[in-house]
Amino acid sequence: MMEYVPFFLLAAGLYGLTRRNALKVLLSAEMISLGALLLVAGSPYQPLTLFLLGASAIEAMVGFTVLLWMYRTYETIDLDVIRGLRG
Amino acid sequence: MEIDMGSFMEFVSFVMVVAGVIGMLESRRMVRSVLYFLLMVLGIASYLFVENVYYLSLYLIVVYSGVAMIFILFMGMFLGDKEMSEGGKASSIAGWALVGAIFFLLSGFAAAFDFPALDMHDIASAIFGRYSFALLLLGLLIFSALASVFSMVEEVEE
Repeated sequence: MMEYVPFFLLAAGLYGLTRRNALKVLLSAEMISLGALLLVAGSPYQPLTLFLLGASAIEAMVGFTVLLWMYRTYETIDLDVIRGLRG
Repeated sequence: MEIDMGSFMEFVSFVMVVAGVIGMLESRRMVRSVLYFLLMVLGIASYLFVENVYYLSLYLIVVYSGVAMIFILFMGMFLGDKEMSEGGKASSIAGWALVGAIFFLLSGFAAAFDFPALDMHDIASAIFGRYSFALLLLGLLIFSALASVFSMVEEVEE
């Protein structure tokens, strides 16, 4: 049962990347990396999952700081409103 | 009827993960969505604990529930607990149908694989022996990320 959860996490994370709330988008990216972690947790390369976890913790830290910067600049984290990067 | 404790705990963690994912993506309030994410992380950690991968389970709880989650919760409180609508019911149903399709496709591909496990001693000797340079690099990466976060925060405050 639980061995198919990584695929559910990947699929739901891809769906979450299309949401409007920037916080949910970042949490979905975290979810995808947790799915990858769960996928390799039973493999012979188990020690390397520690680096995966560390990398995703860094990603969370920098991502949420960018979110804070985004809120201070645009006063919202709605990705339909923030169009500064569109051409 | 006798219930096997391991498979019962696996079922409980499965329900925690699935409920956490669905609740995170469907709840309107940001703090609730963060708390559902925490439920998902705890579900994964309890599954790893049942599967005897203790170090990874504890590391997951410490990193996500301990450090990142405090950070995220403070961030949610700082941004304010606003409600944000996420499209209509029809787009939500279509999205979850897409999730189901991707899930069945991937699990169909993965059904053939079977993974062996390692014991604690192998892992410790691998981390502090073969992969010690990678551990050092990870530490440097963490410090550089911290420095970039501090500089970004300073720029915002000016």
